[in-house]
Amino acid sequence: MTISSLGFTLLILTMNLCLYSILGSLIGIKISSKALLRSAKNASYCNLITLAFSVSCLVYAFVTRDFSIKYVFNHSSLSMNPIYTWVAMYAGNEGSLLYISLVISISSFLTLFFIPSELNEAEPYIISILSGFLLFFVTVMIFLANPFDTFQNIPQDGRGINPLLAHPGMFSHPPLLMAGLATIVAPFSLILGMIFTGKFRNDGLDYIRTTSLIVWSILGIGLLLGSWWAYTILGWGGYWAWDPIENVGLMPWLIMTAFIHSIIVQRRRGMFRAWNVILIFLAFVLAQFGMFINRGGPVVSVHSFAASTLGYIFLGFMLFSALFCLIIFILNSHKIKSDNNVKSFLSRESAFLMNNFFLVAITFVTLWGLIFPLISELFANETVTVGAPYYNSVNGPVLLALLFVMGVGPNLSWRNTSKENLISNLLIPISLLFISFILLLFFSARPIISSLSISVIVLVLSTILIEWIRGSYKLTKTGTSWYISFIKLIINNRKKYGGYIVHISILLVAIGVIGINFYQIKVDKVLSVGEEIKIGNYKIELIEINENEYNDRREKIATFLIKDSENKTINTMTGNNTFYPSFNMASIRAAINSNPIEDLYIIPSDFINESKMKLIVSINPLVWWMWIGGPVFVLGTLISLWPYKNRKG
Amino acid sequence: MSNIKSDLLKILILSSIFLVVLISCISNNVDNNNREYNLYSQIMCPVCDGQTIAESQASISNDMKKMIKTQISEGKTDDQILYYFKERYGQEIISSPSYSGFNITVWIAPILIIIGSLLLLIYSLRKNMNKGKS
Amino acid sequence: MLYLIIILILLTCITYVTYPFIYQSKHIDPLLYKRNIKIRKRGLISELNNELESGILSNDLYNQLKDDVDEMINSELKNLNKEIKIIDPIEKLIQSKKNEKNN
Repeated sequence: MTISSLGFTLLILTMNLCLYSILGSLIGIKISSKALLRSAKNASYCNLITLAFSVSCLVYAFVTRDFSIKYVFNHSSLSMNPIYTWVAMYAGNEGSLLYISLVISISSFLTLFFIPSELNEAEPYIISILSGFLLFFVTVMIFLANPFDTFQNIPQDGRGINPLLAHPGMFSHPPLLMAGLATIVAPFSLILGMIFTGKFRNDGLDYIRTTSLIVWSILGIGLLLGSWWAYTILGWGGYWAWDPIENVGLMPWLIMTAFIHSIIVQRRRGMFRAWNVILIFLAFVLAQFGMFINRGGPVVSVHSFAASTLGYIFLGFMLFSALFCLIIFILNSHKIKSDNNVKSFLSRESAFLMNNFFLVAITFVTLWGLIFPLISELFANETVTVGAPYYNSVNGPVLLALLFVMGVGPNLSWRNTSKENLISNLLIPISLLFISFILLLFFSARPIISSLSISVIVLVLSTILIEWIRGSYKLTKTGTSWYISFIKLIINNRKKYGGYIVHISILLVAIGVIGINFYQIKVDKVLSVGEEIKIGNYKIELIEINENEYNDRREKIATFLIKDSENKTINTMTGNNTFYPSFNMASIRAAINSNPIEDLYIIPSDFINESKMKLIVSINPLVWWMWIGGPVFVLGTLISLWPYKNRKG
Repeated sequence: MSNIKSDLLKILILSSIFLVVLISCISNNVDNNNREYNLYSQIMCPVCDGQTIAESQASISNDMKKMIKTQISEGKTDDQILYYFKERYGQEIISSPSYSGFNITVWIAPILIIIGSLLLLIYSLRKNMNKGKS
Repeated sequence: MLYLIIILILLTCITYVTYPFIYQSKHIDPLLYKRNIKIRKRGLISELNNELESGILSNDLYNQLKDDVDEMINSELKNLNKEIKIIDPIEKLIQSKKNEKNN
């Protein structure tokens, strides 16, 4: 038996375990056999073992340079640094399917292992859905995209790994993004399972909240890491805003954001039940849409995955999921609907409703922009491009409205907000909004929308800080210091205050986006060695140009000396332009000097000769804050997830 | 209570100062004469996947940048330059759809649908609220 | 060598999957759902208490929201009682069938 046949056999075993676990669960319910149900659950646990070993087989093949396996040949080479084995594993179509299958089996295991007793009745249905989802991926691999396919004649060396992938960002962005999209199946299966029991209670919402938060944060971090990678490594000076492939990851994330907020209302007030079902169904279908776009390639983007006819299988699966969800919802809508209604426009429920609405609106606009080129070709026989300017113009105002709700919403009370509360909570923030808006109108030469955006950010930040100060102040009355009171406030209200910290991380990202979108300066320059140019408060001198030749690439490196306006040295940094002949691809790495106020971003655009080059220099204000948002986001999520000991019996 | 009022007043002053500092930091680049790059970001690179010529380093992108620079120095307006490219390469070279013909749908449809559904939402909320009261 | 691995994995899976048929697990408490709803109520009330203590809620609002929680939980308990009445005869039937098998 070879490594490849072992890996493949394990896939077949996984497929059978999935089939058994689905049939066992459904039959077990019918005949009320606890033993069969437990056996089916155990079978789904076994998938973790079989897939873990199958993945190990592929990793082993990479590490031992086993080029008899087509996938290893296509994505590695003898000269490849072994560290990038991890990247090579999921860089291609087949490997990524195997990776996703492993992720699904891990999340299924965790979902089922920690499932609370409230969801006992729904459990068999949950198992069927999770195993069914895994079955799809495993079947696709076995019949259409086998990672363990072999050559008859073993080649000497592999093709090597795509040079753009050899970067730390690549270690985390695609796997996190794929994991985030795939694991949406977990909360999806919980809700769907509850519906299948025939009674859609308000049970298990804490567990659904926990699983959704984890899935949502994985997806969110994956998206932010992608932007960071695009900015720091791909050397275009942008952060992948509104790139179609990133959009398909963004859309499920937006819907999940609505879901995790809307779930709060169902948990505390028993409302928005229908909304929540629709939202999780939408998130799941959009995640499948994402998988389809990633493999089908009908949408043009800088980083379309491996384009293949497999795409149509995923399209079919997406359409099937959509139809399935629609039918289930229609058949069960009478059981799902809430008893209570929103009682006032000035209530927190109403704010959450607006939150849902705006997030769905942004998702809709993004989807519309994504598919419009196809519609235009079909109906008007005209090819158009829908790029960043469209999304900025149409989504911009809605994002602004969303930020506004983020600030005002937490200050509204459940049920109804009295006039006194409204004024005492919002007077200062609204005043600050007006003050900053007027200041910016006078001092800033930028479009009104940028001034408005900054003012709204000021509003949101002030609402959060005021509540923190008020809350800490009330606790200081018990005799503790401000510092201890603040910590106590967070610890006693982890869900809410973790959420506030996540909101702050969103504000930080927003500040970075505003900085680079509205306040950027960008120029083309030609520079010779020894020559100096001035831009903004910086003086940039080209020190030297070096050329290095390796057996897989040709590197041209430019070294710059950066001084400030008083000729004090700030930094020496390099940028390079590297050409990979075997891939016929060039990769550019910019020289970046970053501080909280602005980034100096130098792109070595073209090396004219050994002493002269073309540069693109840009000053990107406030981008530093965007990346700080990442760790703050993680911190907020962790605090929000931190469980209380005395709640459950 | 006056204690907290004075603290809140302190926040007000501090944040206003912070804001003014922030604005002065990022506003010193008043000569944001990004006309060239504003135009570049509206033209797609014809051989790249989804990049504008502002982002792409391909030689054809650099050629197009040169064309735009020449036209700027000849005194042409933004609209004239964009029209020139549209004539030669088709609408798809422009990074966002025009406001005419079928393309206006991409702009109008979302706006109408969003405003329409927002009004619908408010209307149905009111109805439910009044039902609850009576 | 690799044959050994696949056989071990196969054996592990078969054992784990057939194990529940050999060893019967404990009965599930029929009052489970009622208890869980009461636990949930306790959780929601203690959240409200925390918010009252931290000054996020006023006393009036706290009382109103507490009443709302009571109303929500009570209606769920009522629905649960309705369901239990429906399930009970079926459970009795299955139990009697199982007892037949064992005898």
